[in-house]
Amino acid sequence: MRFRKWLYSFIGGLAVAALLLSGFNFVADPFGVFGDRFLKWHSYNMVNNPRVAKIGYLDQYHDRYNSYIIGGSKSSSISPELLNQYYGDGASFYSMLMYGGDFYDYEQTLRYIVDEYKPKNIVLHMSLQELGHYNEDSEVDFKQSLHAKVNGEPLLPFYLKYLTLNPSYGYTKLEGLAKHAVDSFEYSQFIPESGVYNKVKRDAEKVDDLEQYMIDNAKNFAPFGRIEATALDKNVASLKRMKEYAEQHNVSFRLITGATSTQELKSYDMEKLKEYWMKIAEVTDFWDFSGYTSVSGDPRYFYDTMHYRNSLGAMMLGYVFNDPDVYVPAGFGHLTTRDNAAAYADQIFTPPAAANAESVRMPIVVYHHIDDDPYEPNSLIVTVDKFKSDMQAIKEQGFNTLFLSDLIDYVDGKKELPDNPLVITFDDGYYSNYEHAYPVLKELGLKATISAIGWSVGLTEHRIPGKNFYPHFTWEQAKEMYDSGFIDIQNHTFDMHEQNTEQPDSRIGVLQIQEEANGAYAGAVLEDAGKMAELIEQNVGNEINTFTYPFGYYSHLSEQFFRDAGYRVTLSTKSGINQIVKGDPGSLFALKRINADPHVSSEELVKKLMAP
Amino acid sequence: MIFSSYSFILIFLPITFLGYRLFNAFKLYDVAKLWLVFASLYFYAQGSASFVWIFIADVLFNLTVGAQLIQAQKANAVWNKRILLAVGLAANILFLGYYKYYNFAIENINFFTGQTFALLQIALPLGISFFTFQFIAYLVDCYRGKALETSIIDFLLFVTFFPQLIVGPIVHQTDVVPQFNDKKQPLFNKTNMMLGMVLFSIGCAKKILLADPLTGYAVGYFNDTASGDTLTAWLSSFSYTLSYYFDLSGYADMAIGLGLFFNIKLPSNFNSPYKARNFREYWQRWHMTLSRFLSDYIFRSVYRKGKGSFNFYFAVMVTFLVSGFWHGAGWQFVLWGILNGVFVCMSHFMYRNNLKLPFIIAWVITFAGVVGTRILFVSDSMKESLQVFRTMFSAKDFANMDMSLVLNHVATFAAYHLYVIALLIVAMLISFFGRSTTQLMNEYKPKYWHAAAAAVLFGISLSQMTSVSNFLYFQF
Repeated sequence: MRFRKWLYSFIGGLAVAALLLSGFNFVADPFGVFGDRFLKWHSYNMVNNPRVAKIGYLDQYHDRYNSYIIGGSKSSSISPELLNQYYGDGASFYSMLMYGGDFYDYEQTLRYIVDEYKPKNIVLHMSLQELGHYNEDSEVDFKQSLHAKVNGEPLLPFYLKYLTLNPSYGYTKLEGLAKHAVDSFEYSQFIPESGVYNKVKRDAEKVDDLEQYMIDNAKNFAPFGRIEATALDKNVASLKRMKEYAEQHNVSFRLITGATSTQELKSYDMEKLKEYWMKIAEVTDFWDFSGYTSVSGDPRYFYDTMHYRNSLGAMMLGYVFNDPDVYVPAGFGHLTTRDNAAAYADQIFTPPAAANAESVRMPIVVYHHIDDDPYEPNSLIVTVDKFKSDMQAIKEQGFNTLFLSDLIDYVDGKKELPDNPLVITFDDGYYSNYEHAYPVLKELGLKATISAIGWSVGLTEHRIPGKNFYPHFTWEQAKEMYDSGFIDIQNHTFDMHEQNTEQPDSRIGVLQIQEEANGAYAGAVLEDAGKMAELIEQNVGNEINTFTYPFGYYSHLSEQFFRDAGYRVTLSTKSGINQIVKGDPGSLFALKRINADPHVSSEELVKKLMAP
Repeated sequence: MIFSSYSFILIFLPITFLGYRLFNAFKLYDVAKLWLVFASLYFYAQGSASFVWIFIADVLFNLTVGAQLIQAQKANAVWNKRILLAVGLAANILFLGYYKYYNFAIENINFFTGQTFALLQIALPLGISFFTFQFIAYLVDCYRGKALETSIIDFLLFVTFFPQLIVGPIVHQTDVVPQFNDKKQPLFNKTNMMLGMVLFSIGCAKKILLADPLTGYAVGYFNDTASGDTLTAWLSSFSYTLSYYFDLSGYADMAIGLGLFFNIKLPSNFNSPYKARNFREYWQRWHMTLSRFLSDYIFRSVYRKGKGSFNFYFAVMVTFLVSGFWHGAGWQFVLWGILNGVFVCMSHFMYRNNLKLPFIIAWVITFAGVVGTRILFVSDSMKESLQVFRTMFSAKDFANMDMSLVLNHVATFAAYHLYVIALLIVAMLISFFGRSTTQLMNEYKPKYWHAAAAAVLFGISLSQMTSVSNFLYFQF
């Protein structure tokens, strides 16, 4: 046995090991560097490292695309399909989104795409967090590094690195195949054909009830930590180079800045952002959705602190392309140019006056019809005696009854509220309110708000002949009550207080009909509410500040419509006590109310209203 | 620095080896040994830098006491001998006691007296349990007149020799010192080199390819036993049982292989322990150098031949109590020791009374005992190990499931843990049916394909020594 020959055998064995390893890594290809020709599981590779895997994918399939969105993870909410529609002319977009992207990544990617794929259009999406980093060391990590083709590193060491990769990455991918067979969502966080995140799970979430949404997603909205503006000038210079490079190659170039949540905005120095905006506007006009806007304070537009929802992305594109089918909240979206940048930046980078820590516990009680002998007794109808007894109990308990305008004044800092406040409300506008409630309230000196339905005012018969119907008060009676100073009249729709379960495509209250475009939805709801508001103003003469949701049903969007239309308060029927925060107009939306149930004694009702 | 790392394999080992060969080539034999001592101290400092000077002082202390003991032994000065041994043992035990058991003692004092004595921030020095045992064995050997008189360099090399310094094998002075002074020792020995390379590669593969991923999985469950489900508890317990063996025996294989690079034959530590069909046999196959130490220095100090079976069983129990305590400071280790003692006593009882179970039943019971005691061993507390057992035998996860749902549940679990399950199967096949490296070593005849096969294992192990980063995508 010769030692030298032994050593050669050993070295030969090492060579075999290297071949086995390379072969395995080539076949498993957990990062898609080699095009994943065997498993063709591109979503897995993109989950592993979108920067590298997307290049591996596009090198094979780039002839299917002629336009690209380049940006960080936020840009995933800009839909390539929508861009295709808006750009028209055969545009076919691909999203190059890369998590934690910075301008270095964007620029290298843009150059590679322009050089190699010869695109027609580029949309650059800026997230804002790029302000804090530019070409960091952490990007040598397997999960964040760029493809060597993109950042111009030598290719041989790059491919060798992936051939001699720790095979554990490949084992995990093979194991992932089994997981994927059980649950097809495993490693499907990217949609390889469009490059965006697959958000079907998050988009199916119920977002309408803000309180519940924040309970479910509390940890998603954790503060992000400070982001210093270390890369400000580098980013602007890079942006300039990108724009010039695209234009030199006859590629259309558009910059969009993504929506930001209030929570995220706390991470930045506002003065730096204003400076950033001025400098960016010197380089290019841009479609601007960042900063404190009408949506930034509402977490329901966001998945978490950093990422705005697909639905908001659709609104942004609707704004950019002026799509009448798309509802865009007022005060969201702006074309920022060299001329208006200073003023606009000043507006969006000035935090709204901080909400005061001061708040008031606000119970609201709701009644409907009062009747000793109804067609069909239910939990929404009380007898005349029960109503009287309730009011006496409330009076004796020392509640100070308020109008909703008092709450608004409190939030606006114009007025303090008395101790032990209470709001009494009536829905629908029944004649019984005038006949029974009004005298009692007047006698006891209690204030109440009645939300009336427009079409039924003054009617004693249902518009559908023969249908059970309780009479409703007339405009004159409404005016009489209002003039007494004890009653306020507010909006409960003109004619959207319907739900027809037999007709599935009919509207339920003010909710969206399936497949209805947001723009049409907004139009319908606001037209109806506007009609009613006009009627009240004409006939009663008071100011409309409150919208009461039919059946208490509301959506995230409807909340936004009413906010846009100038409503300050919306009332739901969710049971509970509200907390009204001085300086926080949001605390007046979707207010909870406690139903004065006929089976709950007056004593118990008062107890409920007093409960913490 | 562990053996299965780039810094050890690519830097430390080549430099140490080449230096050693170079000094020997110039016939600077003592310099070569000193070179190994310094390399070993450097190796130690990489793991426990702050402790290296205390370690050196500890070595010198034992060197002095040992030398005095040998003098006293020669002069037949019985009382001197006894006092020296008492001082030496007391110092070593106190030393180990301070570092390993101080906080455990304080915790118990606080618990039983309601006091709140503060715990100390004591970092356990690397390998202290192992080298302290080597010192104790050495001093007792000196006392018994069995130790060899050695040069200071030989003594230093015996205690510091890096392949065995941190987790054994526990080496007796008489194992290695004669080898240091063998005439052939400084010469290049190709057979030793070949076997060394094979053993090191096998050890590396055992640790990197099998033990580390299995441990990595099992640790996840044992860090948070409260939230794991039944299948996870089973898979984790078996994974840990197998990974413990492959980790320790892989390390021992690497140590023995490394020793051979320097022409030092270290004693074997494992001999296919999971093939054992009773606990007596298990302890003859598991961590053999520790068993030898406990048998020579604990069991034999308690057991007196011809004093009846009670004395025997008592000695066994004392030995395993010490073993339990040595393995860790915590009551679960004490219980672990007692349980092992009881199991060993039971198998002795059966052996003495000629009771024999069919092979397969005996093996299954023994392996179940091994898994059960391993759970106790790796749990943070008794409470936690009870939690593991409860989870393993709870039917809660399968409540209201018919057979097809149970199968579906198990299949889903298997799909989600395919890698660990595959490794576990390979590990079990090897440990139940494979030849042990001890066997391989004893009857070793080098063949060229061994070199190639070892290199394949070694090469793949090398590729798995880099750290793997986690997924970064956001949870949409």
